[in-house]
Amino acid sequence: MKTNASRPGAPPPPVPGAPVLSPPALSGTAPGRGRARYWAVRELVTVGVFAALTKVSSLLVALMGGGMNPLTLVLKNLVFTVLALVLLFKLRKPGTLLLFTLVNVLVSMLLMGGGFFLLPSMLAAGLAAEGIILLLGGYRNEMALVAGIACYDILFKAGSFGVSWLFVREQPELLWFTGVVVAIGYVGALAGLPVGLRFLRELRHAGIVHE
Amino acid sequence: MRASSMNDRWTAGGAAGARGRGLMHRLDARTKMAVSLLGSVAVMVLSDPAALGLLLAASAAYALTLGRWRMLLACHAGIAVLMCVAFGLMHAMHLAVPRMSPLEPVRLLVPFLRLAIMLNVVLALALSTRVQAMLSTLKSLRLPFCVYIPTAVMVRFVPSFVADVRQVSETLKTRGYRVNPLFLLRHPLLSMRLLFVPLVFRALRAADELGIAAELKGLGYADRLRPCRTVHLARRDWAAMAGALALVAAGVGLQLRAGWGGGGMF
Amino acid sequence: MLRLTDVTYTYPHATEPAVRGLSLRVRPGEAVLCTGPSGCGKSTLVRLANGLCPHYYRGRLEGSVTVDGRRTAETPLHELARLAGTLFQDPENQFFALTVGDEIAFAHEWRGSEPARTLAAVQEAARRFGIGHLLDQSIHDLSEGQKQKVALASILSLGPRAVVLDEPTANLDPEATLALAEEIRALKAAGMAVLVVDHRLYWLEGVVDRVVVMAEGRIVEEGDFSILHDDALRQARGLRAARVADPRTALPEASGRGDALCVADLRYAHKHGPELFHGASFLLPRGVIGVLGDNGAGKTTLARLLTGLHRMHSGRLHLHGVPVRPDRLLRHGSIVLQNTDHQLHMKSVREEIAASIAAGAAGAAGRAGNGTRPDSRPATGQTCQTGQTGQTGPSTEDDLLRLFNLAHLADRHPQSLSGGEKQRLVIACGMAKQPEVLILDEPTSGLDGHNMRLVADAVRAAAARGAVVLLVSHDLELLSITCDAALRLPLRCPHTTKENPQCSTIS
Repeated sequence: MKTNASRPGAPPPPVPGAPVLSPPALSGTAPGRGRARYWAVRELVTVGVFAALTKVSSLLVALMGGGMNPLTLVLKNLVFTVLALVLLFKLRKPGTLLLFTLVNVLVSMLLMGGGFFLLPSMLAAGLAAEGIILLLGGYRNEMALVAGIACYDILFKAGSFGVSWLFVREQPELLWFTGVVVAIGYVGALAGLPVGLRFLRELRHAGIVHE
Repeated sequence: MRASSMNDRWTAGGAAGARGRGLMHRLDARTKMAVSLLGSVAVMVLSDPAALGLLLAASAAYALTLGRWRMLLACHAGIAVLMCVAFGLMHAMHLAVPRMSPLEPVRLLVPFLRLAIMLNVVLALALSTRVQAMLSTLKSLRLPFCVYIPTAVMVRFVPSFVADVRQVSETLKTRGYRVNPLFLLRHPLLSMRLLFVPLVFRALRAADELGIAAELKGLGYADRLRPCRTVHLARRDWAAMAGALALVAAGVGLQLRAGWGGGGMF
Repeated sequence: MLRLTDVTYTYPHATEPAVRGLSLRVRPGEAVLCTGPSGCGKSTLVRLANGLCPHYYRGRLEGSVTVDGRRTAETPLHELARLAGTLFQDPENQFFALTVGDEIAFAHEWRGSEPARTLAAVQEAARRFGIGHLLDQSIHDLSEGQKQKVALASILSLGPRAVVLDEPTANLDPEATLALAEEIRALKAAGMAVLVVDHRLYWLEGVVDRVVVMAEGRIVEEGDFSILHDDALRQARGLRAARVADPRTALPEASGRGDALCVADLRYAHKHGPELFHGASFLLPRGVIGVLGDNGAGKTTLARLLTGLHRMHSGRLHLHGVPVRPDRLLRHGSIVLQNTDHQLHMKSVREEIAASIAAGAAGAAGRAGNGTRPDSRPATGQTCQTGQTGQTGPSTEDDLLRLFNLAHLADRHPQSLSGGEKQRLVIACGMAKQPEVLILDEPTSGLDGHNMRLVADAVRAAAARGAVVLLVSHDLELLSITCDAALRLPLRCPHTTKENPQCSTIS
């Protein structure tokens, strides 16, 4: 008997036996119900693990960087972008970015009582980014993923700026400061794109992410 | 009605341990989450300093039941410093651009009142709720499968990653690196590599291993999980939520008296 | 119960099969041990037995694997998990919940069991494994032995008919290992088929009914446990010893046999915990010293105190008669911690070692007084200064790569290495700065016999150059072939200060 489920044409990994995650064909099934699920359990677990890592990383950068300063802001956004890129390249499944942002904002809402007003802007940014990825060739196209994340970052930052108006509307001059903070954050997010691509090369070298 | 925070324990000792703690620890996580959400909506809607002042006092009393007054004091001192910096910068802006509308300290105070209220309710939630209680709460929310799994995994892994961060920084110490703000400034990319490369690889490995374990445990076999214990809200939870609602109603009353034109949302 | 018939399996993207022509049968009430050198295909065998190959890893499977008569390739994973449970090397990575009770209940809840049945299953599993008092405990607070029990309880609560144990003793102390051996006997008596895959062999004598030895993806030897007493076979196949005499009582006391490292008036307690060290003082000689003691006696804590990772409440350190602050001891020494993943940061094995050599050079400069810290990566081929002992050890990247059998992996990414290779790499990094004090915390968990002996030789060589090597390990085989003496915890009385004037002056 032969069971062959390998993907033809993919390059050999440096580590034999490294779990292969990614193609949409890997969707999970709910055998009890006999119907296919869009998300496999392992993919959902990966999204959850990365969401946790994002939260902890933000905290770590804030602690190491000594609180709120431009360097910390840049690095925090850079790390988020790098992690989002790695996740998207790892799973390569439409909806990953949206689910990732949804989980992030849901946990922020539930555990931190915050983010409630960020929910619409985050979801809108996520949806728009998914649309852009789709338009530019889908999750198989690397540049589409990069453009999607760049788009997500700018839309979400614009949304954050809007929410900050709600906070400081009595003294609108304070928006100058929040504007500067948002702009610096976006610089970090943009810087995260080349850094992320470089890091992905390293992950390929390590056999963690495949072409 | 059964006590909430105790019937998520397996042993009599565990339940007794929960009962022995303060009121905040005995409130159900859902109650504290509801209070936090209510707070975040209220601070956005209200803008009258008196209304926000009332909520600040109430939220401070709520947070003080934790008994962590030093930490609260330190956090509020941080907000005060932030406010002073903002006030100074605004003053400088007015000196530089005299055409700007005059600076009104009371109006400048409002954003920081909002921040302080949110800080109180969020700290109360974060410092008194076990991660396991958060997971139980997520279970009871009956979220869709594709949202529940990553959310639960996220909550499950935050403590693990915090422990990982500690271990990575210890490793750096053993290698002779001192990663501090100065080091971060001088070598930002090397710092990122030293701190994050082990964490990202650990995340990728953890995702694979937990994914395997989840599949072997039959996760996803049924559409929804069937919790073996249901956690009920206790009287004190309903009382806390009613109290929070009453306070917000009082805040809205004060806002109505002052009028919405003063900066309220409507 | 568990049957592999002429199985050949190739991972996706791999050109060569990981295992070929594998035939193995484990009957109900039988326990079979599979051992062999690293990379021989043991892990693939485990993945075949529990269905992860091909369900999770995909790839190409030829031949048939059946569990309780059902072909694994055609049975869903969650169904297979009901038939054959798997206990992995690090049980914590299997835990989905955060408390013991919730973890055991987890699989039942997701399989849609009646709440009353789930509760009954949790209580029954807890009773069987004696972990009822731990049900509300966080999984992070459990000892390794307890984690293993919880994972096993969780698996067995589903009522499987076969169990696969993947390197179950890698993180266990000898007592927990013996308890696990008893558990396997009980499983056999209950009619369960047990497949154990492990490097450590001694604990399975009298427990397993058959042994298979694998090499290069094939079964090369098969028989009862006595085949492992053949020295030639073990040497040829890189296996560990089949019998190990417990060296923990036989090793002479280290304290007072030399004065290379002097610790005086050490006091320390964990937060909210009892005092672990109450004015402890001891003198340690050069050589390899095993740090021995029960779980919770403070072995790892001592290692961390001596290197400044924990702050002593009080205490003083002297190295070769010179006072040293604990947080400065790392300028003279190295500590290799347990979790290797956290200790690898660079892009290649060579770079990782080079960075450690640079750290050693900076540490030496710090010793000389300029306080330089390693804040940049060194050029390839950089060498490290010789330690104070005068003798030269492996001082270049190439020396260390050769010494730890990593030369062929020099350009590989450190995080892509196998567990054993990573372990050797972090030890090589620890030795890169030619430490005067070297502390190793469980350096050989998961290493096969060949690599364990390789590490042991390197440790002995470091000691021969004059280093004080503190070895915190549950690995009886490693302790027996490397240690000169033992430091036994808890430390009883500060008698050593009287034997050495140098230390008595500081205490």
